[in-house]
Amino acid sequence: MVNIGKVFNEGRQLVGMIAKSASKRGTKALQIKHDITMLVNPSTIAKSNPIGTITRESLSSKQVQGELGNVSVRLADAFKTKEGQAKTFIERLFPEYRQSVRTKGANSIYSKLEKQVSSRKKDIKIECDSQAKSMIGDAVGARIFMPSLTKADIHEVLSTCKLNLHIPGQGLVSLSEKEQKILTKIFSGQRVSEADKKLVEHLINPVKSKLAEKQSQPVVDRLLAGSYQFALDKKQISLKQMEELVNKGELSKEVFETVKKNTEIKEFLEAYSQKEIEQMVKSGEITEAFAQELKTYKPFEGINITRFNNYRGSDGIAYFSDAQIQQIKRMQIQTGNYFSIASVSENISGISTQATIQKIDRLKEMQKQIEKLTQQGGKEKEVAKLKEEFNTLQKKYGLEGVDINALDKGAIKGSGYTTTQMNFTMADGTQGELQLRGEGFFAEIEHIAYDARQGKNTLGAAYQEYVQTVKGLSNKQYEAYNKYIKECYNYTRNLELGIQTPTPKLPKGLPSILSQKSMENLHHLNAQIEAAAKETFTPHLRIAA
Amino acid sequence: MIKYIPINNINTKKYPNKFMNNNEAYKKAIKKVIIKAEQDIDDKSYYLPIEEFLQNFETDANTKSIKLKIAQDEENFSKHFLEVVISNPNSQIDITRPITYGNKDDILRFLKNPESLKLITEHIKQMG
Repeated sequence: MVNIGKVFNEGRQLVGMIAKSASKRGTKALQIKHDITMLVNPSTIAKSNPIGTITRESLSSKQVQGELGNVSVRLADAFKTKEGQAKTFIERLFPEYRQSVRTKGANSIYSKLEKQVSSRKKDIKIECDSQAKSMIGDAVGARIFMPSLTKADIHEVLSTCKLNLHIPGQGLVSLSEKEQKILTKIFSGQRVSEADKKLVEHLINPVKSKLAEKQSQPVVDRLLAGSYQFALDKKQISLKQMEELVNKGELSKEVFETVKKNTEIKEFLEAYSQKEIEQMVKSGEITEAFAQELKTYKPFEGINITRFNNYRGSDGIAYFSDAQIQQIKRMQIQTGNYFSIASVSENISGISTQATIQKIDRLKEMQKQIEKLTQQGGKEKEVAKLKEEFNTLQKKYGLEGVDINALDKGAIKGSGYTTTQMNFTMADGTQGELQLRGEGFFAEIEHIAYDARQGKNTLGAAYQEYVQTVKGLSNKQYEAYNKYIKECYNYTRNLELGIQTPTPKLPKGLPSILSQKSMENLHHLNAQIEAAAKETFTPHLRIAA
Repeated sequence: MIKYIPINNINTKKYPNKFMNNNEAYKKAIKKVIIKAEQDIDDKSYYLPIEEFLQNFETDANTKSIKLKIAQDEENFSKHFLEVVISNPNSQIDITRPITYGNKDDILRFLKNPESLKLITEHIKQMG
């Protein structure tokens, strides 16, 4: 057994250590974590590319699996060298946020590459490390945690917001004092009369969206600043053009001032040494205050976003509102840096799985009726009326232009999954994924129910009873549990927005191990077990079975 | 809990590529959008987004559709976005790419410009 853990933990290259292992011949198993093994070929690990081509067919061979392992270890080592730089990059772009940054490990890279090569939908072959690298979109994984809102934040939003209620012909509306009072009560968990509830129920989601904007706007501004900085550095836009956009109302003054300050300080620091700056202060060319700012200000680098996702579950509130997504779209048009944005519009009302299935059933029923009447003949007026109703409904459901009969009802799922995440590249071409989250803990564990039902092998020993329980649920019970998970998700999201709501209740008949509290306890227990295992574990090679 | 779409795995390549050479479909859609835009775009108050699907030739691709969309700026009603959207009605997730932005006249001028077709198809290609 070759113990390579210590030197790996000291930050030295794993590749070099494996290559030096006592017996180089043959494929070896690299025990990279206490519960994860992958194959490597020590005799070829120091090469720059895999020996031979890695394909779906050739992956059945242990030798080829070893080559894939080699690629994964080499990439992991390369990514690791970027970790410090990536941390600085994220810290400077988002200086006031709790964050975590890490590079993708070898086992994770192996899983991703193996999945892509093994896919029957595509014909992917790996012939060189650089090709494999381009298949990994998230060499760097970063998370930013946005603080939750307070009562004072809610008060500020309610008293100043202008809502777009998406009613044709209407402009932006402010809340009346009465509406503000009722909403304040609702958001602080107090009871209100049915009459008061009815008065404001159409305002709740639009106001929640404004609260989400309050929570995330500082992050949006930093993201935009980073994007404009990237465009500025590439000479795709100038500060003058940005100023003109501010005057036209197409760019926020805050973002412009941030980029202007960042650019000016960066250029100053690049042009003059510390000694020269001190001389300038003495001679009065620059003020002491500016010199102090030059010492303390940490300039950020531009960020090149390549893909953007803004998900929310049905009845959920996304982290970025439609208006904020549009700010990003404006930036794309202004800089010429285009990328796709995947999002669920606020305009799509919360539709449960059951409701969506009912809508499709209704449309199919209407279609059958139209066909029947057409066949009977002599009912042209009735058919025309039905067709018009059908078209109106189809448009209302967002299914215009879609062949209803081919819709797979089974593919429509309810989901509470709410996240904003993006792929980006840094100036040196390193690719990363940035995820924006709130402080709510449930987002960390909501995947457990999904993984358990899918039978995924990603859950530790602490979860085994939970996994068996979820697997044993009937479809009806699982549907009820899924609904509960979504409620937990929305409850957590509400707390992030400063809104007090009753804790969701586990449906009757479901075992208590499935509750949110229980899931949190299992998560903490699992984390303790993993941490203990990590302390006594060192990565090592052994002979492959 | 079932996470419906791991968004990075959405295969949008197939559908846009089948439409790459279908200029007639695009021209037809643009004509319809111009008519709707002239009638419906309002620089003062909210209007429902204007959408026009490209004709769906592929029966096996009905869950992925491409549409041209004009959406009003949420905060400045006098400005509008022209976008290309790939939509999956099962999940209500839209994948969007903006093409141009401006007031009603700007949007109409862009749509009526024969050169714009090239730009639109280029965006669709890149979304694949």
